[in-house]
Amino acid sequence: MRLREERDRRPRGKTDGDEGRVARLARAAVSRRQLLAGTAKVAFATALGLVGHGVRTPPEARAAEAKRVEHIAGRTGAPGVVAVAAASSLRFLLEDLRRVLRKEDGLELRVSYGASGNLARQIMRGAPFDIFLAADEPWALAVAKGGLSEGAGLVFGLGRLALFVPDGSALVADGTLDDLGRALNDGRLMRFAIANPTHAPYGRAAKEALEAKALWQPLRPRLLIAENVAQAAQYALSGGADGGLIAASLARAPALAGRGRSALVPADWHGPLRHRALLLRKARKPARAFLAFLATPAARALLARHGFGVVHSNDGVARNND
Amino acid sequence: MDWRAIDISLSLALWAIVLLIPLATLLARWLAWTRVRGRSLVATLIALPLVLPPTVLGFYLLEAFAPGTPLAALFRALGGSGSLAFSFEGLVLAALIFNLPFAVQPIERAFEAIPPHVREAAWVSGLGSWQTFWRIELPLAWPGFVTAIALVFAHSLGEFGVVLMVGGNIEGVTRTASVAIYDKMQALDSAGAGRMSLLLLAISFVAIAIVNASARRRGGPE
Repeated sequence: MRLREERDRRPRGKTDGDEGRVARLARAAVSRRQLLAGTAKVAFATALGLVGHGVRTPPEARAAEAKRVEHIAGRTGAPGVVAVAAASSLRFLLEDLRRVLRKEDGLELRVSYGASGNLARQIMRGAPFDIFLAADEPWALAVAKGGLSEGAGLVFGLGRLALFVPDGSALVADGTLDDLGRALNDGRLMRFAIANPTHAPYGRAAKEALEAKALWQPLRPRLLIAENVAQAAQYALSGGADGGLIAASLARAPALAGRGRSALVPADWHGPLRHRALLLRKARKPARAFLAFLATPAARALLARHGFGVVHSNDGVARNND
Repeated sequence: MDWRAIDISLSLALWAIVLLIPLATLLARWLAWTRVRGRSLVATLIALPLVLPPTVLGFYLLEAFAPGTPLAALFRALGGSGSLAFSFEGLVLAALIFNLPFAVQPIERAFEAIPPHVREAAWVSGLGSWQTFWRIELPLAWPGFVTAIALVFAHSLGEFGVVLMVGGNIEGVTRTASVAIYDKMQALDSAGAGRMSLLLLAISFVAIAIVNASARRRGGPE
């Protein structure tokens, strides 16, 4: 608008010399070479995106996808897909489970791992999950109380805390944490990893266990506080920590067990880590089947293999901790 | 290699480019040639994502996306299902905001570099303002556009903090390549994280190479 006014105010065809120059400039500006170069650049940028789109699935994955048409139907909302928000302690268990379910039931698990507290907060803010697998009850029950789930779900496993010591560390993997206290005093312990106690259940349990041994205060300046328990495991394994208190289910996974030692911390040194599963509101149909599967003997065997305590009575629905 | 995450990253980058470049063109052209009061305020607002900690941006975006806010209501009215936070659409909206300075500033510099007499001369020769834009301004400012597109592309792929906060690492929906690397680290899969990092490194390298090549080509109109 403003441009047009400016132009109109100006006397047309000021001088011939100017006009000749304009013509030259205009010609130069839109010369073929520049246009071609410009087009090529756009094409390249677009191609970069499109090629990426095309190659996103390697052939074997594409064949597998083709078998399940419903999988291709969309990113979300497709039948046969269950979106799970799962505590980080469940990572290796669920990766196993996901292979089994994919092969035997054609069920596709899409899992987001995180600290139970963070996941609960995401669910309360409307994150589109079908199932919430929390590592302890308060977070699960907070979600249930908010009316975001169908009932209070079920307790499917009991978590255990473990001391993990990576190869090369001078710490002794001793579940009673006696050596931890000594190492603190004789300088063998520089950094120690735990998950964040404010929103990660295993972090809360670690804090309680350390408090039970009167180690929490002296250890505090040396703590590496991880976002969730899987990150605490990563810190303990490769982040420069001399050890860490992590989930037993992670400590016995091959990725860690092969590169360090671990020992269980007595279960009564911390509040229970009752892993609770919730069916969230508006959950897709296969989610119900997945929840039912968690209570089967096959699932229990898998849980036990991954270091979880097994719950035999399904006391889930009635139970409320607060 | 997590191809689905790479697909999501590329889709995000493409959407950001397609939606943001026209908007940035309008803003940049206005910023380059206007002298009205409030211009510097707008310029400051646009530059803000450059210096703002991603957590601050993430916090405000999450607040703005929360169920019950006008943005969330608009999203529903437009046919969106569920919540704007933790959705791909929410991620695109976030990308428009965190990429704003990367899109606007190079284009603005390019428009500024066009001498006023060139446009005046075009008007004098009878070109309308639309024709002047297409045939004179756009070709002259083109290197700025290439820079903007490459930067938006690279930054959309690379942004981590905002994406993790607003998107929440949902597999197949908001788990972008950079979030997938973080996720693989926590899965103690450093080989997988390494492969994806290498790919992102290569893509970033190409993007910067494009920016540099286009900067070398930038010549004045004379």
